[in-house]
Amino acid sequence: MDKNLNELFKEIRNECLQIIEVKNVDIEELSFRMGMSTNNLYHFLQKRNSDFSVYLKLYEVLLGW
Amino acid sequence: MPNNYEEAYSKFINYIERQLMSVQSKLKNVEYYNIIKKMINDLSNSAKSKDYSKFMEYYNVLSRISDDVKDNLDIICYLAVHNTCDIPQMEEAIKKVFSDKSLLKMISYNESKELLEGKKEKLTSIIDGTCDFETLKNALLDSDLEDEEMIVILMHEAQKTILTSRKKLPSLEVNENEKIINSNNEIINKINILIEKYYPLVSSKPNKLVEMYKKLATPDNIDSINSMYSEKDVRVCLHILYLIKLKEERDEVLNSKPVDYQLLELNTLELLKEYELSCLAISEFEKERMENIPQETSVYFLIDPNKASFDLSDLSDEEKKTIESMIKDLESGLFDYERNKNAHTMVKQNICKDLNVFVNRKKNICISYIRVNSKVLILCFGTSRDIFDLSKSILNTNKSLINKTISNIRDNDEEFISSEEEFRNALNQSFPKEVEPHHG
Repeated sequence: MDKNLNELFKEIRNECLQIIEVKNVDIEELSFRMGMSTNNLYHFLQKRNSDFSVYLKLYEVLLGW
Repeated sequence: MPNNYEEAYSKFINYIERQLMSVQSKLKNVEYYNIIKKMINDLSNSAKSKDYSKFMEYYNVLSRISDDVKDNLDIICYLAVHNTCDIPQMEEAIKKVFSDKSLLKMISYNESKELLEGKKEKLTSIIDGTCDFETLKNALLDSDLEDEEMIVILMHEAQKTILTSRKKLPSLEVNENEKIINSNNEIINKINILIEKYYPLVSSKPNKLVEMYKKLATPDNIDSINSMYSEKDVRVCLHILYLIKLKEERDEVLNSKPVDYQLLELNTLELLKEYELSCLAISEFEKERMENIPQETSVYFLIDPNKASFDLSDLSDEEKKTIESMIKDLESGLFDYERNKNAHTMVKQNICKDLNVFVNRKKNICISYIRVNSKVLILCFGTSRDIFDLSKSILNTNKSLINKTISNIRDNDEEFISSEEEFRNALNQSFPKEVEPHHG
């Protein structure tokens, strides 16, 4: 299970980073829409959090940007 | 909440071991109290025949019951040794021994040794894994496990029981196969209703997100979608997608020739389990949806005791007006934090595990608040850059005040409500007044 989630984390993170770059997303505004500070957002992107809902939320927010 | 079988089963066994320890301790008590009962019975007969030798014989055991029993046994033994048994002090000391509270408690202890031994046997058989399904089911229902954990264990045990009994009864194969198909159809009908009602939740999401959901839609992964965000619809979507996957597997089994009934039976069990879990997720989702229907409510502030957790004095009139209108929005029940880019749920993280903090935004002003039942407790105001850090700092430094205020809101405490009204009036005074248009 964990291996699968690690792979999905990498996949979803790459997708997110790509959208951030292509759409030139304002990180402060993104953090606000994620309900967290910019520092926290970096932290969540660096290491997989045990609650995967954060990445689904991030992906959803970015897809609608 | 753990819902994989190993985790739930280990929790259950832990509970059974605690029960076993309690039963074993009761059994020891019963054995000890039975010895005491027999001794008291002997002493009662000896006292009637004025033979006090038994009091000396049982002295070592009985004197441990209480200091009073020991003192009175000392008197009885002393008088018996000195042949002064006929004096009133002897009778009084005997009476005091027989009426000692600790002693009476032991004598009146009425747990049945046979019943306790029966319980011990059942508990041991659960730990050994040799008990029957009924015993396990009853013990599980009496346990302190969550419903979801019970379901996981029951499904697993039911599966084992069915597979074992099927091996024993090959002659019933034809009828049994029909039964398997019937029970599979029965659960599929229920599942179709769920899918029809809740698939629109899935189809309303962007395609790329749905693709990601499909990869995640396995029972173990669904567990990793916790409560950091309050959006219960994600869990519902994942359950619906997993149900669709199970339905496809079921169709494959039914279309293969010959049909593998054992596989179909396993599929039925998996569908049953997933149906139960989906219903749980749906009920949480529906509850949340009901709570978010706009309705007028009361708004409260964090006051310690006459000072709020925010200061508006440096703000411009325009900003104060924005704050006033945001408070009015909350009072009308406009909790528009769901999927609105201007309003968001604060991530729980470590500071506020039990509290959801919400943030709404209007123009350049943000407001953070907690919802208590259907009411609102405002924490602070800020910009979108600092609102989360400000809210965290308030949560960290005012834990007891927040808890007390939440409990006052829940209890509708009169004193609290009146001090809130006073505060609110003063706050309203600080908002800029609308200038009346000048006529003439």
